[in-house]
Amino acid sequence: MDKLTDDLLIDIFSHVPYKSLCCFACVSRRWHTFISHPDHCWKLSQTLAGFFYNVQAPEHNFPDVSGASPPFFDPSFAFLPDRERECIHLVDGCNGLLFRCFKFADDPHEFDYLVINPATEKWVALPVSRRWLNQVGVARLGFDPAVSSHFYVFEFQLDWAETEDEDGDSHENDDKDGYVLGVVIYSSQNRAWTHKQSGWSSEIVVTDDFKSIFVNGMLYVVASMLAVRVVDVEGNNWRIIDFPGSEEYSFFLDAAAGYIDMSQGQLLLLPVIILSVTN
Amino acid sequence: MAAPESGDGNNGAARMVTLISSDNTRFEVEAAAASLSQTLQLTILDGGGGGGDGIPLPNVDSATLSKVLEYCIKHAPAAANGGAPNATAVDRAELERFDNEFVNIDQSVLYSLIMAAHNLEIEGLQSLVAKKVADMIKGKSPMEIRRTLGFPDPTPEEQAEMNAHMLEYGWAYE
Repeated sequence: MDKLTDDLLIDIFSHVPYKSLCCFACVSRRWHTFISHPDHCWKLSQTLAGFFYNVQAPEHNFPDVSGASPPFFDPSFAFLPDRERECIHLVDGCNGLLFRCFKFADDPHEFDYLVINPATEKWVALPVSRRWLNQVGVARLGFDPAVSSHFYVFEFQLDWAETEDEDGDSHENDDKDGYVLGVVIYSSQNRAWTHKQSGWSSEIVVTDDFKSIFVNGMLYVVASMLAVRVVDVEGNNWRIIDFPGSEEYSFFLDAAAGYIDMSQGQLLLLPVIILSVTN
Repeated sequence: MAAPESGDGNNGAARMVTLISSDNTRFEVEAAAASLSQTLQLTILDGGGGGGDGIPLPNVDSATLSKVLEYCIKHAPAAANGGAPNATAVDRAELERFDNEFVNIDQSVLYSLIMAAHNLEIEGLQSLVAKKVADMIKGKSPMEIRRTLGFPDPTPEEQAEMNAHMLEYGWAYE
């Protein structure tokens, strides 16, 4: 049994929980190298150290499920300087990095993005991009330690639809939905933002709590209209993946309420289906 | 080659193919069962393996092949139903009972099965034997795992490395 090939080891290891993998990693040098290799880790059980939730912002809770003692992370973010800790809003998390923004107390329309590694307590503030609107929820973090130590931030630019009232004055529509015009992408490698026009053919509305997942250098976005939208870190490759079977069914699919996530190398999509009963 | 040359003489009797193990034993089996092997499927679709030809399997000995075919014959009807979505609970329970008993075998036989299932690309069998090995070592200490799988005793350097890793993952041993 000590001559099992890599393919066979993957088959066997994919049947056990993370805790067993930790024991397996101590069995031999080969098994240790194998289990910790980035090419394999996505096919095996992932470590879940804990998860964030907040009942009332900006307070956060972090139940530690790894059994590590003391818990590896203090959700009060005590390591951030006082100024950064004010009015913090958790926007996104991706493979161990957190993406947050904070507003300045004296000007509620100004805000900055911070990317934080809670395990090392290191953080970095991103240079300010040109703000298209004062909306903090339409940015997403992309980080894949198996591919690169660099991260990306995707900030979607929305068409903040303007309407004219009877006096001919134009003003911003209060409706929070907006069409995606493009995206500005921050690369931690270049330390700069790059703007790209939207390459999605149809008009896409994203709400400020849309679901997304970053896999293999692509951001998968569950937006409106029965499809998953995909954009790469260069902003050059835009794709639309229709929901399976979306053409066959006449029911209304509220895609914006769907969930997308990844498990053992496979993307999982869980659309929330709302059946509308009509004649 | 299309006409079945063996079987019980009924019209429409299942097409048979012949597989030849590494020690030259010939096994005649229904094409549907042998087709559970992705490796064999194309050859069989092309009409191979019938009559006197036979498909040689130089990497699988007769003891292992007979065990592999036992699995294929049992699972072929369900596989023909497209994974048997409309199988009854009784059918599924029977297959599960069969699977559990099937892998209740000597470790050397299990090892040959792992290699054969992989060679022949029989998905269900690959998963079944991999899970069996996983169950054998799950929850054991690294030393127990080495003994279970018949690894040679660790050298002093290897032992030191194992100890260091065990410190690193100490929480996993509660």
